[in-house]
Amino acid sequence: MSHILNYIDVAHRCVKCGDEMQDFNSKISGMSKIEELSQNTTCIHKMHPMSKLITTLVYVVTVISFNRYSITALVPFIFYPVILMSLSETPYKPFFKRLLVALPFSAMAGISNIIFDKEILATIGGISISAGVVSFISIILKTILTVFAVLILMSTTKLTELAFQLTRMKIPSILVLQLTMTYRYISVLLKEASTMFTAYMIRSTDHKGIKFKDMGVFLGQLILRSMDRAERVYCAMKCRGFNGEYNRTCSKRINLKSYVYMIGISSLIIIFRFYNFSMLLGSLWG
Amino acid sequence: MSMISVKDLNVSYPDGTDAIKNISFDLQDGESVALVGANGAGKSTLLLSLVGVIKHKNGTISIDDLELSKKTLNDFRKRIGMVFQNTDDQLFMTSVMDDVAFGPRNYGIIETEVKKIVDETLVSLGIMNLKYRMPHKLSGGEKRSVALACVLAMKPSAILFDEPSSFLDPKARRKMMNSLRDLKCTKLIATHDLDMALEVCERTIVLKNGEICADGKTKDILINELFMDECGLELPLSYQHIK
Repeated sequence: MSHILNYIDVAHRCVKCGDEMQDFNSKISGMSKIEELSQNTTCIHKMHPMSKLITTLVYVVTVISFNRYSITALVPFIFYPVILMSLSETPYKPFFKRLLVALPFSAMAGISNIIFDKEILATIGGISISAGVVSFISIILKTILTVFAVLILMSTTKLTELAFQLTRMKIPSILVLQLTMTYRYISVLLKEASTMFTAYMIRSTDHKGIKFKDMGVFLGQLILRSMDRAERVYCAMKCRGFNGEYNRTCSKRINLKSYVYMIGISSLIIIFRFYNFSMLLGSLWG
Repeated sequence: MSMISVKDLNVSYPDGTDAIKNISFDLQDGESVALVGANGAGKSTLLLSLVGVIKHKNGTISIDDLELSKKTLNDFRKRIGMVFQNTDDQLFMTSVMDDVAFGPRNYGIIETEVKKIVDETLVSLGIMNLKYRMPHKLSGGEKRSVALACVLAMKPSAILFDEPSSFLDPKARRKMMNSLRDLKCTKLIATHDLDMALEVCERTIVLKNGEICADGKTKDILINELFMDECGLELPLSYQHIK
């Protein structure tokens, strides 16, 4: 009887271990989700990368340029990610997951405003709204909008295309290379971590993740293995003529549709920057 | 005319250990040569030094009278391609198309021509259906074919293969062997798969502790049980069955 119970316990542990490994591996494969989305062929994906890059830059700079108490003026800017995500058939879930990584940083920055900026700006239904709360909401809104804009750009444009357009914009090639290599090696690092984690969990007794006492060795080995792997990838790149920058001798020209997209959306963004359409609509009804 | 010529090649590891000792051999145009040896014999080190990834201490490596040096490195690598043992090290772009185009783009070929080369290469290997796929989502056999396509797209005169049949199931291995046989360029194939060496290569070079201990007809070398045993190897499986 005790043998049977032992087997059940071992089987239970294996299932638990398998679940954890699957969870870890699914998280890793989720990291490449945005990259996979850039392979789609919707009308937004087909736009010239330069037009998308410039439009995103205009959008991000404009959103950031609003003062810290602007909330209503930012409302029309919500349409940009919503419409683009709909046209590019991009799912919301992976974006929200990535947003959750960025939000705590903005929240931490915004909380200090709530504490120190206590001037009352408005009273709604007997509840006083301080300037700190307004600026907190503004910071969070700006974070959501800018993060979504960048994620939309990445999910509709291949990284190599983006890198090439950045070099065309005279961004130093060393910076562009750093960006692309970092992005590329994240997946290399994660693959190594996944393999090591699987090997660890198979031999682990309690299957509760990596023990604190093993963490140092695990991370040290991870760095060594990923450096070794990165070296091999770099060798393979050198063997195919890589000399430090992604080369594209000639890129497709910006077509009329892409010009219309870039100029049209950028113009709308600038108009929304200088005219508060939320207030205008409100005053019409008021 | 000798196609690849290696003379008195010596390679050391950073810790000073000699990995390759006084190696000399010539590869003729269109020749298929197997490079066999036990683990640690220096096969991969030799291949990497032939493409200038590992610097040699002394000796000369040349292809069609172009000698490998810092100045000629780019031109040299255009003429000699290398397919790595682990395809994950070789495939790093977001799509098969971009990965195959990586080499030609680096050599300044115009984009319209690059696209043509990519299509031609994929069609020649029968993997056009993989063109828009993500390399890391492919099967082992598909990855191996794409890795070969990446090198073929650069139209090299010679290709070095590091364990081309590793990680492959029997059918994928057979497909890879057929692809190797169909290739007209000069091939140097480092492998433990002695049956593949028997089928694909007419000549074999045996390495032992960084030195060449045999260079001759594949069949003559690989069926010599005593010699193979001395080199830390075994007879090919097909011959073990006969025995």
